[in-house]
This record gives sequence, structure tokens and C-alpha cells, in this order.
Amino acid sequence: MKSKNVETTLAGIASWNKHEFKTTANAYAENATFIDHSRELTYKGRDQIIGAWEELVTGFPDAEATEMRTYDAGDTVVTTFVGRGTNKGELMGMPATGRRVSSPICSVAHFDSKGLIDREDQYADAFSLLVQLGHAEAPVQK
Amino acid sequence: MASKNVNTALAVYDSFNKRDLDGAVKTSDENLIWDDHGIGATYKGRAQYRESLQNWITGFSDGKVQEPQAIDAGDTVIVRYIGSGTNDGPMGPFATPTGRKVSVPFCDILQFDKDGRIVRGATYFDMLSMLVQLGHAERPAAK
Repeated sequence: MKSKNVETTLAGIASWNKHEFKTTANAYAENATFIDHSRELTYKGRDQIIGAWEELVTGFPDAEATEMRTYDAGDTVVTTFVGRGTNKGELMGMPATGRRVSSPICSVAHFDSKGLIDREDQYADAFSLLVQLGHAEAPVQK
Repeated sequence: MASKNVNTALAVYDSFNKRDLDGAVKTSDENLIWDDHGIGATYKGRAQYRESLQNWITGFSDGKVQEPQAIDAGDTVIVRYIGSGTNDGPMGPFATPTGRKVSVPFCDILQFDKDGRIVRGATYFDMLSMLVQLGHAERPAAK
């Protein structure tokens, strides 16, 4: 049987995949911290977190999390998934490329005593994303 | 009290820091599969995994796993840490060392079998952060 925190995690991903971000954000504490290590950015509070997600779907309107796997460690739930999407909009100031990308992502979410996420750390590789979009070249032997 | 799997996981990183690579891989199954999502490579078998650890030391002779924190999920242990070091040797396709120091957050996922051996692993980190710190790439400006 899945724990409450795992259920919350999976429900959050399901609503995220529908781009119902206000619903997803209800799983977070009002002053939650979200750290995106692949962009070296920290978002504080639900509004900033929603803003980050909205920015992402501006670049990838069909963005979705696939191949989810959760690891239940009580007050921490770790989730691995593959983020997928098509770059149909501006992304970090770069024009749309029309390219489809995928990125393995690991999320470490800590839950408070009320069952809300008070901190989430996401680990992914932005370089692979830039290469897939054609904004960077994979290094070759020098 | 830390579980047996947590102790085994943390010992891997401790052995790496001591440059005891045989010790670092001794608790891995011979047929271990390890996906390194930062490098974009899959290591098949204990020998390839050991080689991947050696590659880090070749590129960063003072390379260290700093502040390892284990999260116990039973037959899976997640270890977060800061990977740091000075690029004083060849690193993958970059043959010329930069002499620069790097410090990058990592998250590893180690899966154990019922005998307490590591049978599957995965590493997540941002290669872009590392390449930017080394001067090999630039991060797109956030708007």
C-alpha cells in the first residue's frame, strides 16, 4: 500500500501533467522552497513555484513527466521520471526550435508534519537539454 | 540507527574519498548496472563502474564527495552530496586540464538486493554547471 506522502506525490504529478498547476501547488506548503539544481535557481513559495512551471510550459506546451518511479523514505519521497516535451515556445530567451526533448530528472521532496512539501530539490542535466535543442554541441575529444 | 544498506552506501563514498576503489566497488554486484545521467553513460558491470570512478580521479586528483546525506528507502538508498575538486587532469573529451575548481550537487540512487549488494545505480547531476565552472560552456541567461 502506498503511503500518504507517495499518494500526494503521484497526485501532484498527475495534475502537473494536466498543467493544473494550482492543484499541484496545493501539495506544497505556502512558503515551500523549490531548488532547481540544473538552473541553479531557488523558488520560494507557491506563487514562485507555479511561475517556474508556467515558464517551462511556455517553452514546452506539451511538457509531461513520464516513467515515474517513487522511493518512499517516510517524510521524504524521492521520484525519478523522464521529462518530455516539444520546444514550441521561447525558452530562457532562446527561440523555439520545434525539437522534442527528454530529460531524466530526480526529485527529492521533503514533507512537513501536515503532509505538505516544504522543500523539493530537483536534479537534472541542463547540458543534455541544450544539446538536444541544438543550442550547444556535445564536446568532442580535444 | 542507520540501516545496513545506508551504511553500505555511505561506505562506497568514503572509500572513494580514500582512493580505495576496490573497496568502493566491493559491495556492488558483479553485474551491476549504473546509469550516469549527467555524463549520459551506462556502466555495465563492476569493472566499468570502477573505471568511471577512476575517470573522476583522473580529471580531479583531489576530487571529493562532500557532505554525503543518505535517505533510507529500504532496498533503495538515495545519497545526495557535493562533488568537488580541481581539474588537474584530462576529463572525458577535454584533454587539457583547466586548473579550475568545481563544486556541483549530485544525487545518486542505489538499489540493493536481498543480500545487501548494490545491483542498480543512477547518478543525477548538472553537467552544464560543471562545464560552466570549468569554462567550457556558458549558461543561457535567464530572463
